[in-house]
Amino acid sequence: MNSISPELIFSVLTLIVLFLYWMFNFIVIYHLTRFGIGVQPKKFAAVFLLGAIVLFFISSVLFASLDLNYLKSQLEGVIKNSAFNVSYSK
Amino acid sequence: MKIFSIFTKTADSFEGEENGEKVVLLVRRHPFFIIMRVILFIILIVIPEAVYQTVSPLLYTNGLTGLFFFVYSLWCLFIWSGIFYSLTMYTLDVWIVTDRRIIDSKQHGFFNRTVSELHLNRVQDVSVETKGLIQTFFKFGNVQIQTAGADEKFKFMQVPNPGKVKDEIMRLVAIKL
Repeated sequence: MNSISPELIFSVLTLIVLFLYWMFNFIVIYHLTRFGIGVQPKKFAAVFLLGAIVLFFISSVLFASLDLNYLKSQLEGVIKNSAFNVSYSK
Repeated sequence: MKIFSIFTKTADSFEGEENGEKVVLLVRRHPFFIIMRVILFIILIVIPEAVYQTVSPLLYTNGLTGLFFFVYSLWCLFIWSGIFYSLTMYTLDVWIVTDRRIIDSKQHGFFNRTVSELHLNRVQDVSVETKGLIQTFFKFGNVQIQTAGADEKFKFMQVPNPGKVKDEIMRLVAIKL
């Protein structure tokens, strides 16, 4: 039986988080434009969308610049030296 | 361009508006509450910056500076959404006074909304309540409307210039009678 790779789990989790994040943004913008009375809520919606896109772009660039292999090795080192790594001696 | 026309001046139309009905007052809570909340969110944005100032040498020696800034950007995204969630709730929590009725639209969450209305001819008495130092200093308070026949009161909570709101409602009631 093939085991599920950590990369696949990471990708699926990332997709779920992204979906939830943009869904939340859509609901905020929808409420402001659909139910908001007057000009002010529409302006809020526009500022929110612009800010969300800019911040999302910054986060994506920062994520792309991460050295994931280095972080993985660091994480493995932390786990090795922590209480999670239990070894039994005879 | 037509698509941007929603950002320019539009009539204060609302869902369920009757034909020929005119909005006289559109009242929201005093901005004091939303400003306080935004200040709290700004403090939350600054906290990781202060943490960075103290742990930056440690992050640098372990090569984790990039990871820190990535997590910080996610934190900012979260805060940004929080600010606008609060703004959405603030904006949609509204009292509308038209030339026919008073509408109280309360937003408790994204999918939790209460709308109640009161016709002007049922208004019996309007009173204003300003409590405490902050309300007096920033000129906001509650406006209570006593309806005919029922014990329940229609309440505008923490609205700016409650005296003016009361006067306007009384003027409309006088016209209606």
